[in-house]
Amino acid sequence: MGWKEVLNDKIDTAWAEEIDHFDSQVALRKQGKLDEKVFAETRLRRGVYGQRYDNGKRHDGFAEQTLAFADVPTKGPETVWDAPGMCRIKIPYGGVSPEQMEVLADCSEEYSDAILHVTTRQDFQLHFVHIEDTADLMRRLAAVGITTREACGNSVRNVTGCPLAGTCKTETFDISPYAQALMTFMHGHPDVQDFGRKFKPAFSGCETEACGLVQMHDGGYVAKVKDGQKGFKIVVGGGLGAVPHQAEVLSEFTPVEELLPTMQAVARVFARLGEKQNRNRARIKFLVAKLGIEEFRRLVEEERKTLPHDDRWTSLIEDMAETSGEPVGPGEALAGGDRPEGFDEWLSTNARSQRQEGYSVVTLNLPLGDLTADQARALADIARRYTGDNMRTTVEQNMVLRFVRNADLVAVFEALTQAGIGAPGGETIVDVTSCPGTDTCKLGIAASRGLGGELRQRLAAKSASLPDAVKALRIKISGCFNSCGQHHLADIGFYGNSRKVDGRTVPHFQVILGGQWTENAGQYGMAMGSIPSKAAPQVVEALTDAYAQGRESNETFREWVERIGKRGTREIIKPFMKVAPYAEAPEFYSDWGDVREFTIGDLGIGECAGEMVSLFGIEVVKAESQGFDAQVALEEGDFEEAEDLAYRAMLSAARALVRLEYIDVTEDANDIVKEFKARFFDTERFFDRFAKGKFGQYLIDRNATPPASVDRDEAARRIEESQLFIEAAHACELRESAAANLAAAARAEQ
Amino acid sequence: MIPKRISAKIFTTEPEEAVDHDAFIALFHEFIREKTVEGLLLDVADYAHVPEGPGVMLIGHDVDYGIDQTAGRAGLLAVKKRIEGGELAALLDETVRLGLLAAKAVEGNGSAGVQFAPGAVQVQFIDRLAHENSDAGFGSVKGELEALAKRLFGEGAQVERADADEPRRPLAATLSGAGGGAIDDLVARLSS
Repeated sequence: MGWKEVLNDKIDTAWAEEIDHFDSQVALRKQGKLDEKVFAETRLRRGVYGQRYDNGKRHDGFAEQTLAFADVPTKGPETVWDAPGMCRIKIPYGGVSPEQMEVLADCSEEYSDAILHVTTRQDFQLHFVHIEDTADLMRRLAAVGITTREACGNSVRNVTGCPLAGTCKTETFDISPYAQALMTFMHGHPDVQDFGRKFKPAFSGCETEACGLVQMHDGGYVAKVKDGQKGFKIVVGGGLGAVPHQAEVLSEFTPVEELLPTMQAVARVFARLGEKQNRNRARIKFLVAKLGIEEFRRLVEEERKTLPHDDRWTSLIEDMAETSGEPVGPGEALAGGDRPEGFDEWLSTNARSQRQEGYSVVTLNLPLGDLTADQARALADIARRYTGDNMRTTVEQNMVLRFVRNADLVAVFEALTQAGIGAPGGETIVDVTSCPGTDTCKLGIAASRGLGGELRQRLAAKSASLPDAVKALRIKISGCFNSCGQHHLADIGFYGNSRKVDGRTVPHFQVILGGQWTENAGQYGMAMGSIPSKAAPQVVEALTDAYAQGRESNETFREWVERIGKRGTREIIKPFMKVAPYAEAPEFYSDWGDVREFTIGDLGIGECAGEMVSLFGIEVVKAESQGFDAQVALEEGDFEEAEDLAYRAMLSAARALVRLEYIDVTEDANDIVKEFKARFFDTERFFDRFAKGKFGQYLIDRNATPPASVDRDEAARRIEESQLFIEAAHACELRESAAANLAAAARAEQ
Repeated sequence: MIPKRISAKIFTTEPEEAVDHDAFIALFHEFIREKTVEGLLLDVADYAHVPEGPGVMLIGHDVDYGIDQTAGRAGLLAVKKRIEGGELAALLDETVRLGLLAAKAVEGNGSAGVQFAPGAVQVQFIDRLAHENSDAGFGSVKGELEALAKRLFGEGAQVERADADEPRRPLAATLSGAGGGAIDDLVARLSS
């Protein structure tokens, strides 16, 4: 008897049928009776992702090796059947019960590596999961009300929400039931099955705090009360990714009864008019930007009028309780008396008082979002004993316990410490956020988790001596430009890239400074320059020291960055940008937590300097310099100049590439674009394996259609595009030189 | 029933000694490159930041290895995965053998600076459907465990159920005895 039979009467019938259907598709694909692309899309919509090295290749630091998996049908294009993958588990608004926590722990042990990873969208992820285990994994989760459906794929992803909802002093009202209603309504809804890309929704109880981050979401909902009636301010078209957008206001106030139909209308407009062919421009942010928010709003309003009535628009909301769970006892103050070692520090950073007197929300500062199966079970016990409410995951890759009686705080601290999850420093500079990066992600360029772990360790060691203003900063790291680590929102953000130095590839991180976490991710940080990965801890130290010493009273980090300007911040990081030759500093040529010599994309061959590289290396400096000047112009409010400089930076990088094989190309913009397009774009030599021609298209589009007028947003967007174009040019040059070296080696052997 | 996963943990001589995680990262990458230990080896997973966690893992297709620090006791853990069938006794033998050989490889390399105490092996049945952590569950495997313990450690070998007070954890037992000897001796007995 398997899990299917054992759990037969514990799973919602519709969910059980879906999982059985998926199980059948796994079997059919293994027999070669289902197309690999169809199967890939199917598994993605079930939350079953690929993982690094699942193409069966891995670079061991010396050469690319083929992993000797069995020769059976793939589970997607270039995705080996037996290669382990990642399973993403949706946790609506982060709410998880003790019983669910225990099942998650069991599944992590039996199908993964006994680690539960909290993501920046309040999901859990399990890594190293085999495709044939996924159906039973889904059944066990479904039996306790958890689904993986639409955790990936082009649909409505997990509905995130403020983890303090229902307890927060600044919220308008508890958004939890509405987040749950939206999740239930949209789950598998026919109107969300034909998107060109994913749609990420988020709820916030107020405008001012960070918790909901609605401004960076495809759809954001902020609690409002108007004339005594509950409703939401709705924003659309936000997003991070390679080029971040702030969401725009669709409606200043939509009554709660209209929340679900409005979302349904938005989904229909997005499905009908959103880009389908070019996935790089298929997020709703591009549709909103293309149509303009007024036209988008008009279309949504028209669509709303045509929707057939659905009783669930109101019944789902009426059925929801305002708060979930009850406290274990009446609120009570923290008594005096002896306090265990470390308690006071933990209390100051990891506990915050609720609006309900006598209770606190306790934050678990999970290292890089990880906790073990044993810790998950211990946490379930603590939640049962000391809180009557559910636990919640957070977008900072932590968890919170809610409705902890203040009188129980010492006992909770001791229980958490006993379980190894009582670390202080929650929501401080020590509490570094990081996406999986090169540890497991196929798109990762640099070791974001490796750097995150290193920074966490170093900052924790000196946390007690850090000034409060520094302690309050956020560090967020992504392994690539895709922003899963939400680096744009941090005071100090990093995203992974690479540079060629001394004929070898060196892991780097782009430094992003001055993101605004509060006001629901109110403003994004700006790129300041790339530094070698191994210099990142020194850069953090230099920046925080300079801020602590130079800040004016009550000046935030963002305000300080704005005051000293790009030139000022550049001066601070500049000493760390240079990389010594390999013979002098070989440690720079591998990444954090990985002893292998660094490569990108597992190129599989040794790389050494050549004429071609030197020429490019010299000429691309001009592009980087123009990119920097563009940022300065933006800062000084000269938006047209900033936009033009960013465009010229792209042209310079393109010209540097073209001159590798056509030395006489002129400096005329049209000539450069024509040659770049013919030689590198149309031939797909410039294409990134995953982003394809996205970055090259930025230059071609700008050349074909100069902007009629330039505002701050347009200039900032062009600067982001130029940054990515230059990064792509570096990557292209690396691929080209590697191929040239390979050919040279082959000729030498002959 | 046959479990989908079985693990074997060989404790270090100093159970609570600090583990040099960086050394294990380098060592496990070397193991992949040199195919030092058995299995299709895929990657190294660094969980050094997790207190009392799996430390550093060497992820494989059919077997994972790691310098595990669960419950504050460091040891070389081998997890045999993707078990599709077979005799339980043979699967236990195989899992323990994989763990012992990996411990020997770590010791032999020397770079990680740890020694193992082969006088005890902890075995887990990581499959709650096949083997629940209960008296009945333990009773169903006790015979195979006692036979294995006797082969490893001779007469007087002991089998002690672990985690009996925590039924949510996988069924587990510690096999020990004074007659074990060196890792090579134990491996030889399993292979004979």
